Amino acid sequence: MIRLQSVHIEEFRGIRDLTLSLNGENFGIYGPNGTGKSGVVDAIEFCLTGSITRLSGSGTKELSVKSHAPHVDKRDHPEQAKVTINAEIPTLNKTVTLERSVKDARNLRLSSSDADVLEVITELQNHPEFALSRREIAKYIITPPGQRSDDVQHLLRLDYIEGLRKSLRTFANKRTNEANAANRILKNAAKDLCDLLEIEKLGQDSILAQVNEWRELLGLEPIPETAVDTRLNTGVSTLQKDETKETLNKETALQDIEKMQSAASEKVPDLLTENQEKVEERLTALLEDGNAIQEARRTGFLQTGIELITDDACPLCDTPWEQTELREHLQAKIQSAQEVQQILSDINGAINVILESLEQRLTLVNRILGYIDTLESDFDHSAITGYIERLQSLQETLQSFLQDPEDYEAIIDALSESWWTPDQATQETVQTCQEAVDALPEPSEEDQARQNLILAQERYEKYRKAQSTAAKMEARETTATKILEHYIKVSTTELEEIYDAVAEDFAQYYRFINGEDEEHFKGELKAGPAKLDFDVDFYGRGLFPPGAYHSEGHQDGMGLCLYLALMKHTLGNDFTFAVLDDVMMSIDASHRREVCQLLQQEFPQTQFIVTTHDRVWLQYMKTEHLVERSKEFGSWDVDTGPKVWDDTDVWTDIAGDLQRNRVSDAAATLRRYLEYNAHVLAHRLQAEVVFRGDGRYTLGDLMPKVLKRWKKILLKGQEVAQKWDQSEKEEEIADRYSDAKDLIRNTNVERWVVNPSVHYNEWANFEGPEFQKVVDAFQALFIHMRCDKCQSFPYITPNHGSPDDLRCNCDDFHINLNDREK
Amino acid sequence: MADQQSQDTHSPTVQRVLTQFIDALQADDDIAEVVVDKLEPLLQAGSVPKADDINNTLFPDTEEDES
Repeated sequence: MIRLQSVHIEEFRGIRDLTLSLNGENFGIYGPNGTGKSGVVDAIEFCLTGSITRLSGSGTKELSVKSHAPHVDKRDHPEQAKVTINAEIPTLNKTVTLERSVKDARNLRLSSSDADVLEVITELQNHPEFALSRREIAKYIITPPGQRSDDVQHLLRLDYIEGLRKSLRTFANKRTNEANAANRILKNAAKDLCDLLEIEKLGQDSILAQVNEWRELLGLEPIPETAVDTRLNTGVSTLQKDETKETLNKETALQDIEKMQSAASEKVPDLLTENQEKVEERLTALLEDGNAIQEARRTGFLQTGIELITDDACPLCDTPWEQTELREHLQAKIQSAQEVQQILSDINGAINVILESLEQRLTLVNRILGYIDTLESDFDHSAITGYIERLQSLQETLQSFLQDPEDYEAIIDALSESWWTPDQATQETVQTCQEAVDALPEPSEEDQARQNLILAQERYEKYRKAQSTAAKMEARETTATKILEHYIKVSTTELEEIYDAVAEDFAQYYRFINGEDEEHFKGELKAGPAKLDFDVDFYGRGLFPPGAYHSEGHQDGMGLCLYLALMKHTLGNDFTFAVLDDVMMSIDASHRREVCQLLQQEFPQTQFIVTTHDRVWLQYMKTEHLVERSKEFGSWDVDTGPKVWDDTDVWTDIAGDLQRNRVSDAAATLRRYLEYNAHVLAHRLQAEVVFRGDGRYTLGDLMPKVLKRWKKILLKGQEVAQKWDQSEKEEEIADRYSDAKDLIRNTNVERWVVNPSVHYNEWANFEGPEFQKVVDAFQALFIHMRCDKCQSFPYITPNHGSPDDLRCNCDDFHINLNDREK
Repeated sequence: MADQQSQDTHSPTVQRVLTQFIDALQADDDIAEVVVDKLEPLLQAGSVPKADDINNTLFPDTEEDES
């Protein structure tokens, strides 16, 4: 893998022109929602892989990189939308420039054609999982086992494993259906032959006993044994001397006709009734149970729905829903869909039994139609043809359902009418046929024997062919099933090894973050065909799914830990680069330090690019030295893209607005900038602010307390310097304190409460020169508060308890606040 | 600048699974050698083979038999 030195983005997503200098180090990007942070993540992903996760996958059918990756004003000029990355490859000690434009997204331009460089870049393109978004975290933690298996395998680039399993499963299922169909045909053929020979069971002795009796009547040699190529009618002429066409076998025809007539008068066999009722009952129950089958079909849609939940509302219609409740609601539907799959499997078994009986009937009716044709009678046989068409239609419906259980309503409709008892018109046709056959002259014993042998040969051939097909289909089914079994065994074993190792690392990382109250935490990943169960310990009470008892903050922490464990396993020492896109938003504030330490200690070789819309989080990362370099996006508009805040740019922006006499714009910018800095300083200086449960602190809540705290700290520093006889330091701090008083007074912050006319809410109504004074006052104040060398705001250490020091990021600014004797 | 076109290749883990899978099939006396010989190139092709492609490759006369 690589480490990023710089990223240059042009006309891409919401960004017009932006350069980030990362210098191969961890990098933080802060910005409120909608300021373009994710555009940076998209740009990095696009340059390295040619695709953008946000524009692909489920729910993004109408989105494409080519159409929607360029800035909206450049959508007709995809050649202008491009991203350039300068990167180093630590393992090779080489640098490389990568450039990709939207116009030719599959073509990555590289500054080097060295084979080893190409190998690294190819590997990188095969691992686009370096970018993790908060939305994706939910995929690993709270999704059902079936979907988790897909998601985790996708992260591990193991989609192929699951895809092949599905293909092999479908392949094997189809062979099973074919084998079942061939077996039904074989059973029918065997039954026909048994009926003709009037035997219970087929076997060489039983077949030859009857066949040789007929042959003896005709003076023919007995057949000693049955083989594949045995001809039972050897020596029998097909037509008699005085016949011009084949006559039907009267005895057999009457037997078949009698069977049909019995079927019309007897009740439906119990086995058939039971299985028909089973199909109807299961399907009806499914339909009545809240359209469960439709939900089974919508499984993918429901899974996408879960991924899209980020707020307390339905992601489609904005109906208010509590997030956890909505996720549970959708998961219950998915669970129901999986139960439906099992019921469908039962239905298929019952349909096979029905098909066997149906196909026997079809054979019988077709044979009677054949008798009618042979008789050349002029009676109307449209009824029997209609009955055959009806049976064939039902056969097709049932077979289609076995292939793809889509048209369940057709099955219910088809089975709702009895097919077993032929309609009256068909029965009358059969009756007419019987009369016509009865009227035929009785054949002599020899003629009957001759006809029986001819028919026996026909049915024997049919039986042999069916036997051969059934054997072939059975062999294919066995092969297909064995192939599937081997694949499931091998892939499951491999995945289990991976998951055991991943689960161990996952639990270790989670304990690192939450060790103080979950020191015995453990997790289990259990792989099965098409699913991945994930259970975690809950305070020693047992293993449960992560969403069962743990808070959302803990679940986010688990998602991050699982991702890191998966990446470590997938890439090992090549895990040198990762983008965490707003993934740490809801991690419990009391565990942020541990998260920073985890990333630093366990992944010292990995360059993390972390985006957040929580300004304090960014400060935390800086305080903990996880991130040294960062960019703050102050705002965004469609014409200019993200406005990047550094201490120079914001004053330039404000000066520009004032020059154009746009005081309200300048006032809005200053206010947002002060809000940002007030949060940062309140955190860094540990200001005593009135607590707000919703965490929504206004500028008026924070800035007066921050400046009061600043003066108090300086006074404390002065006092401590005096105590330790550091007169020079004492004098330096006294001067700084004196400056602070003057500069703070100039900002009027202390008068905001008592004098509404100087309050920040009124700035937009100020005249230009009047507002310029406000701007100058705050600019001077911030220069005073920042370190001259590193430009960072100082912060108090430690994070909790009595303050020991006030120091900046580079330690050039340092005031001792500890007056305690050792 | 050199151009590099995107291409599909198996990850090492996938490759390991496929190798073990082929080994297991070869060791199974109930599976004909020809089946393994036909299946292997299909698996190494990069994209996931469809069920019908597997069938047509392993049992090319299926449709004829059915008819």
